[in-house]
Amino acid sequence: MSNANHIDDQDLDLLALGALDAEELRLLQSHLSGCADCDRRMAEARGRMSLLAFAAPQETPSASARVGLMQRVKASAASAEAPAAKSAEDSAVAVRGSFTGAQFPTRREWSLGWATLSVGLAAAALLLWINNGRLDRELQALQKNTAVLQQKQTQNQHLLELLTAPDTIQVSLAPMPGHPGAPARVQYNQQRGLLMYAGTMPTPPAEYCYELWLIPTAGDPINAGVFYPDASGRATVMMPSLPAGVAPKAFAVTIEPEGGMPKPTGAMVQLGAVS
Amino acid sequence: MEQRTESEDRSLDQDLMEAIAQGDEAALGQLYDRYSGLVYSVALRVLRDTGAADEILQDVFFQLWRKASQFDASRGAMGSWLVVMARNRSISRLRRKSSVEETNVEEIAVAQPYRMENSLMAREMLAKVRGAMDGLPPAQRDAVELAYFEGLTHSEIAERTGEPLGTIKTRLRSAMETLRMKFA
Repeated sequence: MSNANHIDDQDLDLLALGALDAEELRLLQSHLSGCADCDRRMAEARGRMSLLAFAAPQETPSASARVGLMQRVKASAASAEAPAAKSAEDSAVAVRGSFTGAQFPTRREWSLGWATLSVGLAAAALLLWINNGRLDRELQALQKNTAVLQQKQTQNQHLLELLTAPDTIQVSLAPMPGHPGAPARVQYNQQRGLLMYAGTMPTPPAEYCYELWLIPTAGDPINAGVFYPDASGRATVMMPSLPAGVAPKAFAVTIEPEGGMPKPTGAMVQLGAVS
Repeated sequence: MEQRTESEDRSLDQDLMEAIAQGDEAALGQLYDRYSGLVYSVALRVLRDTGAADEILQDVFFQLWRKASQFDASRGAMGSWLVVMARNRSISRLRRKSSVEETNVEEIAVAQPYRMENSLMAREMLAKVRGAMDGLPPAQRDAVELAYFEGLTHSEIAERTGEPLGTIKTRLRSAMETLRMKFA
């Protein structure tokens, strides 16, 4: 701490980074709770440090994560109506109720009636407009969900085709000498360009991933997908985008920088020749 | 989308949050589409497990859904707020303890002048951050990554790397100084 008992920017950055040990942390947090200036600069430090998120390789989450979230939201929202919609409905009911009087209205009452009717119509129009917008958004969300489900269904159909087609071949990949891991297998259908890889692998080194290659009988290796094993070591590559009709000579797995490479550059850890 | 100004962008986040607070699921979907890549990338980098990163991603946005009415736009930018949530939750899960700065992350302020959602400007920011990180001496970069992505403190980094504590502190201070200048 410095500068007339204020925390300096470096300490704030280290605090936002999470690098301070318990005692330093306690001292700074104690000061922050009573100092508006340092608290404001702490917010800036958090903003700076949050930019480090960009240092992570940028990945795209699976479509199923979005579907899972929306299902969870729907389940939680099922029991709760949006309060705004309810109050708008209450207003509309109140307006409708103002026209149920049994006596014939006077001129003044007619004017009041028309004014009330106008307000009622405006409220109804507003309600319809709000509902319309909400329905539009729900429709868009449903369309997205439908697209995700169709994609999943297509993938399942391809998997079924791959597993049942008589011309699908199975290739065993063995670990290369000096590399841990169990044998893996690839199922490949040349005519349809469909492929599935399944194996058990150790976690790759930090900032590296595994990359599967289709080695054709002629030409350069073709990238058949980047993968990371899960916590239990299971690794799969399902239906990567491959051209149809490529005759394979072998399949191989290499270690590549995160995100994968267009051509193999790292150590080969598994290889399986097509018999 | 690429043409929005900074204030329009903030305004869109605020509009979406207001709609989410009213129970608008489509608005949540839009906000998810804007930021899910960044949130997922941070979680995956920390946890190195796609299944666990998926869970953190869903937890962060579900928390946002539940607490939307408490989000105060004046206290922070949406992208940064989500990143802080994702990182803190991921590190807590990784280390099975709360070793990060705050636990009640919904209440903290995060000032951020940059756009972080899927946009051209965010991609430029990405290049800037990576350039800044690549420009650090490897030992400084490693120390920053151990702190940010693994949640290690000075002492824990010293223990992990076998370097003296003072050396680690100096490295991180130098790295912070450099990054602050480059991010400015």
